[in-house]
Amino acid sequence: MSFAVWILFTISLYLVVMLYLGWWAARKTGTFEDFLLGGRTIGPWVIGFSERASEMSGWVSIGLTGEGFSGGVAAMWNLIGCYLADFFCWNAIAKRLRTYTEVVNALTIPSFLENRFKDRRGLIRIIGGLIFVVFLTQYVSAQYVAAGKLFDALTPMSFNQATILGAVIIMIYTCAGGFLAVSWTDFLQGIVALFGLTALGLIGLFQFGPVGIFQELGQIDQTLLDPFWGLTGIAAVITALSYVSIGFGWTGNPHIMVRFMGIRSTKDLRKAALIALSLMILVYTSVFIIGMAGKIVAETQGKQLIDPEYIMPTLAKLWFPAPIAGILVAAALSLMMSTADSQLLVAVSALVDDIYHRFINQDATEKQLVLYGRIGTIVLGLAALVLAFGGGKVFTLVLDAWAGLGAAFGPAIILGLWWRRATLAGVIVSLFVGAFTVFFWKIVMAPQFDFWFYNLLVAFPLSFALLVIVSLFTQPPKKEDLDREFSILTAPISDVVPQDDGTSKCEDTSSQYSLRSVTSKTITELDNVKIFAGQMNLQPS
Amino acid sequence: MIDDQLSFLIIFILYNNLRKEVFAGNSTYYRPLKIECTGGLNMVFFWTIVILFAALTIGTYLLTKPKNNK
Repeated sequence: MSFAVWILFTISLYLVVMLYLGWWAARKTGTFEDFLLGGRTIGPWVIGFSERASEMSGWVSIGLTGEGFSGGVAAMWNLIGCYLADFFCWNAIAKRLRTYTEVVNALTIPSFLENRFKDRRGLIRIIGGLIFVVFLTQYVSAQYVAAGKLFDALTPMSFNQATILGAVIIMIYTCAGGFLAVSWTDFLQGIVALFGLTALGLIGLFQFGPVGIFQELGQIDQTLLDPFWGLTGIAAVITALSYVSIGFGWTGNPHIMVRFMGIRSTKDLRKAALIALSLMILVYTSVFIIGMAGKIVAETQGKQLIDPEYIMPTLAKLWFPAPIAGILVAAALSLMMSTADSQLLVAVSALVDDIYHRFINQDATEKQLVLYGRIGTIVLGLAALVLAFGGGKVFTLVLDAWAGLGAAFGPAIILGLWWRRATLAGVIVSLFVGAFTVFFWKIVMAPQFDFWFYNLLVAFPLSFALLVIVSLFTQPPKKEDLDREFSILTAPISDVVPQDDGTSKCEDTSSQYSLRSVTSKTITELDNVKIFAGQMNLQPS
Repeated sequence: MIDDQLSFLIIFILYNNLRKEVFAGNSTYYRPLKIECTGGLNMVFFWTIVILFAALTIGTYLLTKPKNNK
């Protein structure tokens, strides 16, 4: 068999195994309540791995390897921004978010904000839903581009053909019930991906050595050893800050935040943080080394790359026999699939459930909602595909979507958890301004600079500042409401959440705080989708 | 006294070797040595961040150990 056929065969086999495992596990558990109840026991290892796997997508496997290739040691600024943000989230956000959302039965980030700010008109839900649809569609599109680059590098297909193949695989996986896979299949995919990338990085490290890799890189191009890309003055400072500001997006991205909600106990957060942050350091360092080693190999062996982001599959092809390279590529693809399928379905649920069902047709039957959900999946999937034909850097495409979500939701989540004085009006303004500034800066302002000036570096502080200012100029929330809200946030979870024996120090917490009557057994954004699917009778048995 | 003389001898030999390698324009060692210096500094940037963050992660884990189990 030719190399390309081997690759496609291995990937197909991998997908079939993953789909079968998901389907088998779904049948085994029987109902969605079983899924979710089982999920309530998720321990620190699975949460730590899944928090990493949910964030990493094609941005890490394709985008960051390309950064190591073209930026050299300066790629480390990505780790600085991302690590500090994740460190902040594990230590300052996770516990409060976990406790609060459990008590008020909030299943998603918009429903958390809706409860926290007593938004009875559903403004956060409709504005947040629209922001989700726009930016998550772009996020999915970036995953298609990443999948297209993988196949383009390894098979004789053109980029557009490869992108269609990548999109078709992701949509088949989604429609065939990839979202039904229980947490441990996500965990399994995460492990395969993490070990695959780390293995490639280690090979690069052993091949050139921890010192030699920098010496070789310097012989190719001295600017690859410059932490400031050869830039000086304000350009160097702004570019470095732009990389660090990627971390501003952390709190606003729902697929990361909801992982914190699903952990078994807040006591496990400490261990989960250790696991997740260690994995981040390991994987990010590995992908930078893959990129730098790839640069050396490309230069010394005369390999011409169409695009620096092709380096990961190119090295996999160069260093491994076809079946193993196929597994490594499938591992990278699984990161894209697990991100794309959940984001596609979250966007659809925001459109159909949060907007159509709540504001347009409250009497819609389940049959209608199922139909619109399926149509929505296809329409948004195709819209993402059309966007993907434009190509571009996966790194930038993901960061644009990331910025929109981060600037819109990030300040509201941080201040909602930490600042008593934050008001609904402040949050609404922050959502609008955050999302709008990302577009405005990208289209109007960023082209004015001859260096990278990331829109999140402007949009997040502006959105944050306006939330504070508008809150201070609007009527403060009632003191008794705030006392109650913040007693939930700061109390030990055993005081506010019913224990295994059904006892709780607070009486009837769910009816006291929740604005909506919903099942509280939520684990991840993926599980929110499962609830949505469950309401629509989509379970496989 | 003997130690002092020995130290001086070692430094002298090292200096002479370094002088030959670094300052001789046609030395084959010149270019790699220069690159090693530049690469070395940036290698420190790269690996220091990795080690610093690893230490921060482990240190936070150890320092936040709860005193009582609620």
